[in-house]
This record gives sequence, structure tokens and C-alpha cells, in this order.
Amino acid sequence: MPKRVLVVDDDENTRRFLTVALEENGYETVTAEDGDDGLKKVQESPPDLILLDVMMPKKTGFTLFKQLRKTEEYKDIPVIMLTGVAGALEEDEERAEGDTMESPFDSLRDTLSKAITKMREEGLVKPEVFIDKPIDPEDLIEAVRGLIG
Amino acid sequence: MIDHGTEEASFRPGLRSVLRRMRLVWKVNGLILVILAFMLGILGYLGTRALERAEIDMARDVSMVSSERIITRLEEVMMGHEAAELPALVNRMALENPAYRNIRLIAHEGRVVATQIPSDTLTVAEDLWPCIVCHLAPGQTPEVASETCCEVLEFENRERVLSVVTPIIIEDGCSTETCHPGLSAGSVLGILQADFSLARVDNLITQQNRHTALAILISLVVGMAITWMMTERLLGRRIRMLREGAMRLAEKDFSFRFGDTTGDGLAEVFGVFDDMTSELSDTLAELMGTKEYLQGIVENSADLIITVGPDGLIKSFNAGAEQVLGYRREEVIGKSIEMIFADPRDRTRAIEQMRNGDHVVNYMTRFVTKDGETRRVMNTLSRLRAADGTPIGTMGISKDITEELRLQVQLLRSKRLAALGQALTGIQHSIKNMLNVMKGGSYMVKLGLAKENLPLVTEGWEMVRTGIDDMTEMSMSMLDFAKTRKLKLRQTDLTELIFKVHELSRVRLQDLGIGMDLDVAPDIPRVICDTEGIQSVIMDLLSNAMDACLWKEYPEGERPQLILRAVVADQDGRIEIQVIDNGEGMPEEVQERIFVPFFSTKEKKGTGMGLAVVARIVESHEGETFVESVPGEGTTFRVSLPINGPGLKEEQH
Repeated sequence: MPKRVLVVDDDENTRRFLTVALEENGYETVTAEDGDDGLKKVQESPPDLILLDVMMPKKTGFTLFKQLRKTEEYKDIPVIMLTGVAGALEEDEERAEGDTMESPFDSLRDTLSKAITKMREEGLVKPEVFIDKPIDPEDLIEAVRGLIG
Repeated sequence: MIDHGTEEASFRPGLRSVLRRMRLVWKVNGLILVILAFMLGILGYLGTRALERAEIDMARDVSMVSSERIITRLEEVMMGHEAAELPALVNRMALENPAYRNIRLIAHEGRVVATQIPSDTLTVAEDLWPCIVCHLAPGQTPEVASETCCEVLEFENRERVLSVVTPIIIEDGCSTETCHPGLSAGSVLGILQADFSLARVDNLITQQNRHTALAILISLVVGMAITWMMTERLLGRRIRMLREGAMRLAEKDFSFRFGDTTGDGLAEVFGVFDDMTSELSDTLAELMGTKEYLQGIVENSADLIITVGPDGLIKSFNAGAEQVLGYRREEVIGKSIEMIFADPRDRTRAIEQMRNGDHVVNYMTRFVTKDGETRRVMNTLSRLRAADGTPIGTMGISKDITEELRLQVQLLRSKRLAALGQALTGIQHSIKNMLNVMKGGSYMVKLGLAKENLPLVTEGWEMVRTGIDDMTEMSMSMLDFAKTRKLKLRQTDLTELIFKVHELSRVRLQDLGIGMDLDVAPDIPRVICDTEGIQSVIMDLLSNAMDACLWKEYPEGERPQLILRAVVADQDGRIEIQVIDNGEGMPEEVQERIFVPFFSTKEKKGTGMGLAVVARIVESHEGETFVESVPGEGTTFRVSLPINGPGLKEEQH
């Protein structure tokens, strides 16, 4: 029985190449084009892993993520977050304890960084993996394998 | 402060009471003096009278004794029948005592027998009448006739004499028939009249009167002296004190106090004076306090406060000026103000500007410090006038803004740096998204080639091309932003333009399920603008508003809605285009950055150039762009444009 991966991204091209890459590596895929759609798909049939884009209209990836983590049924589904600021977020993570200096120019990074800090304070588990854009499909597959085999 | 009304009211009765007492002292003393003089007069008179009486009594006794002696001698002479001797005897007797004025011997029939001074002025009838009445009148009782009588007579020359009349009685045993036929014993044979001069007495009385008059005079003088001394004690000394007090006051010695506690009217005056001095002293202290306070304000101000006389010379120089310019005030007071100006013409120009008023507010100039350093200052120049309006110089209050200007430049630089940082971040995000698609596409091409799956290659290649197209578009818009072009200004019907924009957006709005209301005021005039430029402004704002709606999760019963509105602005000669959405809104830190090129909150969408270009086009029309936004509720963009278009100048677009 192949593992099922849910791809949530509002960009059609991204959904497409991620699907191709995953299926090529033996995974079954489901796609959703925004947060609402993503939630619907999870409720229909919980996947083994979720690839989640952060910036999406209607319900952002982050909102959906928090919702899932707060729901007992879905909180253990591993999540790979796709964002252009993944590297920067990791930097922020590393210095969260001491210097809280933020990049003054990047509102996206700023928003995300704050949101993650807040999540940790609420006792929620942060996303398992952040993958930086532009996404290298081979790196992604490796990460997926690492999580669900 | 002194309440002059009440003080004056209480002061006047005080003085009046003193003057009343003064008049009373003079009246009483005058009366006492008059009574004293009167009594002295009476005493003198009584003394004189007593003296006179004593003298006259003595003269009478002497005269009576003398008269008896004369008569005894007369009798001896008469007995010897030596009648012829009588006048000589009388003369001799009279000479014995110089006090005798006259001695007369008068016979009973009225004949003057002998007289010391032969008198033809005196007739017996007149001169001796009183004697004759008493002594020689027939039928006279013997008791009366035989008595000696005395009388003071006054002559026309005011000489007084004591006239002593002694009757000569025929004694028993005298053979009267022989000697004095027809006369019986006991009857009056004749009289001896001795006039005793009272000149000595009169002299004594005159002397006594002189003494009395002297006594009265002395007592009057003494009395007046006493009165003067009394008033002097009561008033004079204290009036001198008052004068001294006033003089000390005039010399600004406010420590002087009378401290008079005698309680009379003048003490009240002194009390008022002391109060006044206290009040003056307090007022002076208050004035000095106010002066010091004001001086303190000037002195402690961090601003430079410098006053200059009409001659252009420095009159005062506060601590702030010392601090900033490095001069001590002693070094500059009396010197020309121009020495502190980097360019003295700045001051000349300001003074000329002041012709229209008394102030030149906030003009920028440069001062030179003692060390030759230039300081930028914001100066306010005011004309100083005396109370009567005559100009007495100028006052300059200057603020050293050198540091402020430096910080402003620094701030501007860091703001520019921040904008650049934001722009670069925006570009980075856009490029990452485009690369993402290209990387994905190239993966698919690679996979398709390996599997000889042509459709996959084609699909992947399309994705790579999409990325290339997006990048091209972005670089074009960047070029567009940097490019200079002339505005194509023409009369534009805004209503028509707005309907056109609505038409162009209709399909997309329907696809996204967003509603739009048009609200164009009927009185919107034609506006001179670059029609295409303004159309793209409205299109960009609408597109932005649609995105804001897409990014919001609407609660039940609410749907995304836009309003496109055009109104005549309150401000004269301007219209306003408003684009209102009920989308997700923006926090303040985002609102601040939305007009920065390449700034974007949308990772994959747009280039971050839209609003930057909007702002640029509006600015080139000399218009303004405003944004108001509440997170979760919506955003309003307002674009204000001048109806008559921008001034004729080339703009970048």
C-alpha cells in the first residue's frame, strides 16, 4: 500500500511538478489549492504526510497547520513546510533564546518567525521540515523518505 | 499690595487729630498766659496801692508831727508877740525837710499869714476852701474843726502832694480877749497847711509798675517758650523723624521703622508709614524675585538669547549663547553682533524683512563659534520697544540645529537604506518564486527525457518558459519604474474612465466572486491628466483590493465587496478617487512600506512594483496617495488629483 501525500499549494505549476516527483518515487498524491481545500482533503481521508505552502489566499498554510496541530486526530501527521524564507527561519530559530534581532526588511520572514515562536509557547509541535524555495524535487523526495519511508 | 483707599482713609483722621491737639495746646496755653498776665497785673496794682498807702500814711504821720512842732514854735513866737517873725519861721521850718512842697499859715478870717512859696496863683477861696469848710466855717462843731485832716491833691502838672491841715486851737488860759478878741478858748484860730510832696511815692509806684510789666513780659515769654517746647515735644521731633524716614525711603533703605507706640494720632501716621515701608519692601522683594525669575528663564534657556542695541552692539548674551558659541559674555558685550554671523548679510536681510513687522520667525542662518566652527541655527528676530514704542534694539532667540540637521541626514540615509533592503528582499522573493517554477519545470524536462516521455518534457518546458516570462515581466516593470517619460496630459472625463475600468475588471471580479459598487459624483468635472497613467493607477488599486479580498476568510453572511468612488475633494481644485475594500487589511508596519518598490506581502504573486508605480504616477500629477487600513476589516486607498493638472514640468514615470 503506497503512502499518501497531500500537496497544498495555490500555484498550479508547483502542485504539478511536486505531484510528478512524488508519484515518480512511488507515492500516492492528493492536491489542494488553498487552506480550506486542504482541510477538506485531510478530513476526507487523512494523508501520511502533508506538503504545505505557507503563503496562500483564504486560509494560509500556517493557519491550516495550526488547526491540524490542535486537532487530536491530525496532530501527528508530519508536515513539510514550503517557503521562501525557510533558511532565514532556521537562523531565527537558532538565536531565539538570546538575541531576538529580526531582519528589518522581510515582513514574511518576520510574520512566520513570530508565528512559530507563538506556537512553541502554546505547546504545539512545529513543522517537521522546512523546505526552501526554489524547491529541488530531489531534496524534497529525500525529506519525504526521511519522514515516512 | 497696599490698599491705598483704606490706608488714606485711616491716615487722614490721624493727622487731623494731631492738628486738633496742637490747636488745643496753643489755645489752652494762650488762655493760661492771659490769666497769668492779668493776675500779675492785679498783684502789681494791689502792691502799688499798698505801697502808696503805706507811704502816704508815713508821710501823714511825719507831716502831722512836723505840723505839731511848727505850731508849738508858732505859739512860742506868738507868745512873744513877734508876729513879724512868722514868715521867716515858716520858711525855715519848710527848709528843714525837703519833702515839704509848701507850708502855709492861714488865719481864721481866711487871710494867709505866712507861706513858704509866695503864691499869687492860689487864691484863698479856691486853694483853702476845703480847710475853711471844715475848720473856719462859723457854727462848725468843735470836734470836727479841731481834727487834723489829710488829703492828696493833684496839680495840673500831675504832681501830687499830701496836704496836711492842722487846726490851731485857742487853748484855755490864753487871754484871748487880749490876743484874739472875739474868740473864745477852744475855737479855731487858724490852720497850718503843710503840703508834703509825694514825688518819692510816685517814683516808687512807677518803678513798681515797671517791675510788674517786666514780670508780665517775662512770664509771657516763658509761657510761650513752654508752649513751643510742648508742641515741639509733641510734634516737631516726630515730624523730623517722619522727614528722616521719608528720606531713608527715598534712598531705598526699607529697613527704617518708627515703631511708635505712643498711641496718639501721629503714631497712627507712623504706623501707616511703617506698614507702607513694609509693603514697599515686600513689593520690592517680589519685584526682585520676578526679575530674578525672568532673568533665570533667559539665563537657563538652552537657546541662544542675545539682545542688540540700535547701534548693532551686543547688550546681553545668555548662558546658552556662551555654551554654543564658546565666548564668555564679557568678551562680546559691546562688540558688533556681526562678529557671530558666518555671513553678516543674513542679519541685514532679516532686519530689512522686519520693516513689515516686529518679528522675523525661524529663518536659518549660520553662526561662527570662537573656535571658528560653523553652527547652523534657527533664528527668530524680534524688535524690542520701550514702553512708549520707541525701538531700543533687537532680540534674537536662536536654536542650534546643527546636530538636528546631521541626525536628519542620517535618518534619511538609514530610511533609504531600509527601503533598499525592502526592495532587495522583495526582488529576492519574486526571483525565488520564479526559480521555483523553473526548477520544477527543468526537473520534469529531465525526467521526461530520461523516460522518453515527450508530454512530460513539453509540460516541464512550458513551466520553464513561464518562469522566464515572469522574469522578463519583472525586469520590464523595473525598467518601467526607472524610465523617464513625459505625461500625456489631456482633458479626461473621469466618469467615462471609471466605467471603462469597471468593464475591464468585470470578468475577473465575477471569477473571484467579488462585488463592486460604482459611486461617481454627478458634479465631477473633467480633469487634466495622463488618461492612461490614471487608468493604470485605478486598475492597480483595484487589483490590489481584489487580492486583499482573496486573502481573507470571510465569516458567514459577509462577502467580498469593493467600492470605486470619485468625489470632488473639500480642498479647492482637487478631486479624489477612492478604492475601498472589505478585505484582510494591513497592520501599520505594512502600511508604511506598501509604496516601497518590490515590497510585497504576496510571495508568489506580483512583483511588488504595483503600488510604487501608483505612487509615482500620482506624484507626477502633483497629487497625493493616502492609505487607511484596519487589519481584518479592510483598506481604503485615496488618490487626490488637481483638476487643472500638474504644473508644466517633466516628470519621471
